[in-house]
Amino acid sequence: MAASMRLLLRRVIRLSHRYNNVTAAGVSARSGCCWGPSTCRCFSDVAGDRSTHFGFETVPETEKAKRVYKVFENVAQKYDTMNDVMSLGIHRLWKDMLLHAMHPQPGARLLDVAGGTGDISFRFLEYVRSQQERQKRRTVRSMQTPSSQDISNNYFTEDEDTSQESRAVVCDINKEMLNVGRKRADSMGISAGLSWVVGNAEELPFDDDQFDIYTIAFGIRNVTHIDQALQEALRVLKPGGRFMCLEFSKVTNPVLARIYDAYSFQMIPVLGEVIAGDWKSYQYLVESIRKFPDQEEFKHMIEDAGFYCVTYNNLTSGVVALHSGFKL
Amino acid sequence: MLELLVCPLSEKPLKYKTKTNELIEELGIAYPIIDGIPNMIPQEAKLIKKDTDTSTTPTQG
Repeated sequence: MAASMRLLLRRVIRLSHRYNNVTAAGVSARSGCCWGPSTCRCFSDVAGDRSTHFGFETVPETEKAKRVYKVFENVAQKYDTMNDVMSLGIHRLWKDMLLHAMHPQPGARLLDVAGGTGDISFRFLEYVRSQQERQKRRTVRSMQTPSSQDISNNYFTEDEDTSQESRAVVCDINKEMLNVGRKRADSMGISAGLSWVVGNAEELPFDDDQFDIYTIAFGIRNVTHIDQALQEALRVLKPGGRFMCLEFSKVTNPVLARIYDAYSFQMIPVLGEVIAGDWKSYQYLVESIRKFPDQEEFKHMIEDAGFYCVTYNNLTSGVVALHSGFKL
Repeated sequence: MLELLVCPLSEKPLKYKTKTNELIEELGIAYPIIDGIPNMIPQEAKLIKKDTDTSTTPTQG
């Protein structure tokens, strides 16, 4: 078992050396920095301007949002297809796991930030709907032999369609992604309880204490000021509300980490070029994953913002981490 | 849906103006609605009051 793994590794490394020597060297040189603490994330230069990272590049903070916008504007049309291809469909499992952990009840209000094409919101509405149906079936089964009193009661009580109360708001900074999402919703016939808003995660256009659940799936690493986004999340959640974040994270196993790195830097930009005609955007995407803090550090950031009971779960050996926190 | 939205800068409530299809905030900021999706990015909003110096014109982000 170990021998064949080593052979596979050697072959992968040989391939990576044959193709992009520079990138491989760049990764190993910079990955040392990435594994370190937050010092490499954000730093000021001599002139006093704040600069940050855009993938492995250093850009002024004001630039980053614009460049991220352009990336997603370019990839919007092929975003869902690329997700399936790049993750071999596994991203669907990750999102399903998020929903299972969330376990939303009918009547819940969700804010899906960086929700883009709507994957999480659609799942949320589906989940709540199937929950309601299960409840209805249960009540029907328990009411098989109603008394005359029950029958007369049923004539008077209105069966409220609580799916109207369950609401999902998809908020994204990018109009193109929302447009793609809305077309998907229309073609899937999902419209009740779904709203779309163009908004900035660092400056949400919502009042305090509005939502039961706040999710941000594979979006927070693109935000320029993550701490501001976390503070906004805290603000708009109701007391008792839950913050949930799915994001790419650090692979714990060193062998898998090298395979994952090779796959990320060799395969993904190539796939991006072949399928979406855009190498650079996908290069940015894989680089941005490396610059994002690891599981523990991100957990501390969430705690610093004021969330309690912050936990995380590694999915697929740490390729993705699901972080959760509560507003008390 | 309107009940949920507020101005991201001042957190004041918004009014919908049918004529221009915009969401107007008390201090005179107007957020456009494009294809039924409100755009709540402050940099892309218009200031309605003309007596202020700082006026942000709608920019394509």
